[in-house]
Amino acid sequence: MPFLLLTTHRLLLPLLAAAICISTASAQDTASPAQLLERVQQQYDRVRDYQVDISATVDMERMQVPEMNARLYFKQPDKVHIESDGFAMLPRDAVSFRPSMFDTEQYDMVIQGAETIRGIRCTKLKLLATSDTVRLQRAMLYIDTKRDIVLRMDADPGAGASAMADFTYTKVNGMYWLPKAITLEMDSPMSFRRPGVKRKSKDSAPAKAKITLSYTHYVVNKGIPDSRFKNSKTGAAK
Amino acid sequence: MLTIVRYELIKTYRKLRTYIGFGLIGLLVPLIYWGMSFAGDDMINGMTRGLQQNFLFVGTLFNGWFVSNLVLNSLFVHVPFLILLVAGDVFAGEATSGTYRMILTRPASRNRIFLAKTLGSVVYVYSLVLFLAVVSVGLGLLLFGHGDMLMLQESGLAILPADELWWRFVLAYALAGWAMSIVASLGMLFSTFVENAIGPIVGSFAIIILFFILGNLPFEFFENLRPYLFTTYTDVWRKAFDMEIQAAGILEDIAILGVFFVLFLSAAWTIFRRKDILS
Repeated sequence: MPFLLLTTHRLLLPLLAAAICISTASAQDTASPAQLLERVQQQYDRVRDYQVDISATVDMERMQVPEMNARLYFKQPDKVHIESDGFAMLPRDAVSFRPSMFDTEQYDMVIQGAETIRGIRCTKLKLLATSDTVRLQRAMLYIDTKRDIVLRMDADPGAGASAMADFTYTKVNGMYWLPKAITLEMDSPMSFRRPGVKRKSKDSAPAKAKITLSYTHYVVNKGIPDSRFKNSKTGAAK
Repeated sequence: MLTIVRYELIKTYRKLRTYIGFGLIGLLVPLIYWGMSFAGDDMINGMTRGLQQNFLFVGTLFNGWFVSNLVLNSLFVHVPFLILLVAGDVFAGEATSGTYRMILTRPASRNRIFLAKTLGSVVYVYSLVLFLAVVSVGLGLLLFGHGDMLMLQESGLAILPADELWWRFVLAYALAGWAMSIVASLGMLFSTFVENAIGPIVGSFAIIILFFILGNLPFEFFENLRPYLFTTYTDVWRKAFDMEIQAAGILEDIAILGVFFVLFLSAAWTIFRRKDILS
């Protein structure tokens, strides 16, 4: 009888585990768009503050820029300050990306299926601004629902341009997933036409710009004084 | 020989007209900077408006290097005229003041006198360019600080890192000095023809303007003519601000300018040697 019980347990345990996995996955898949974004937000909220060194390379038509270095400070809920010894130009929406950029009251959200990015199955969350005063009018977030992090963002940063940011992550202090690198491909702002000027031919699409941001030397949750953000021109990045 | 050069320099720097260029630069540059202190940021914003929609700008691009480069670009159209004020007077001035016959009856040969006048003119050119460098860069850095430099180039916008700018500016001014030396040699050539300095100054400047216009006309005939105009190469100093310095291109321009320098001076020397001094 004990043998039978043991055998039954051996059979039941994997089944039970499989059932739990399926139910979790099912719960992830059936999460509403707002819940999905909320879960991602919770993941980001675990980081109260951080500082990180950023090095940026810009490959853009009609623009020559050397590699740029900067240090970014972030503090919840939305304080951002960036310092640089020299000059640095950093992509506005990607450099300090946080899901809180997408206020649920300012965006309509819908889940639009799934897609695999770098071997990871992601849920596609589409966000549409409810008002034309919001800077980012449309965005698609590709969310890794196992880690609740955003692996890709497609967005319209305005003026009819489009941008795609690919995020790769590193686990800081063994517990926080934070960006290790962001590769941004966007319509080159230097190739925009002036109003009223016709494009030379239908095929001449705007040139693409590629911006690569590398994040190193994270210092997380060590406390950053508010004075650091005082008079910051970079301010709260929204 | 050195004594003759020294006398030439004394003669040049004792004339009031030599200081017109220095005075103009000394007056204009602070005035331009005063104006820029009000509108400089707007200028940067205007140049980068398209970028600032999508990028956060950290640090400032409005600094001493930026204004110095702007001054170099704008003033360098007028610097040839300041050079010609002196170079056009080198031989004609002797005729005007009636000293031509006197200097040529001295034991020094015409060749030596010609060489001394050439060296004197080149020294003046470099002293004026050096003065422009000191006033524009020195005052610019003092008033607006330093940092990376934004540049508007034919290929678009470029940002040059601050730590490279010292040697780039030194190179640019050295090349500008060489380019202006060719202008001086043209002035000297015209100066050998006549006995009044006005003609060489106006004539040489007219040639420069004519060549500038011809070199920029967008017609095939004039485009083919461009390599043979010395004004095509006088902006060689701009190459010091290319993101990647093309040493071969710079050396080629220096060499071509050298050919024009030798050509103008050879013609001037020939006329000067054969000149029958009647005054």
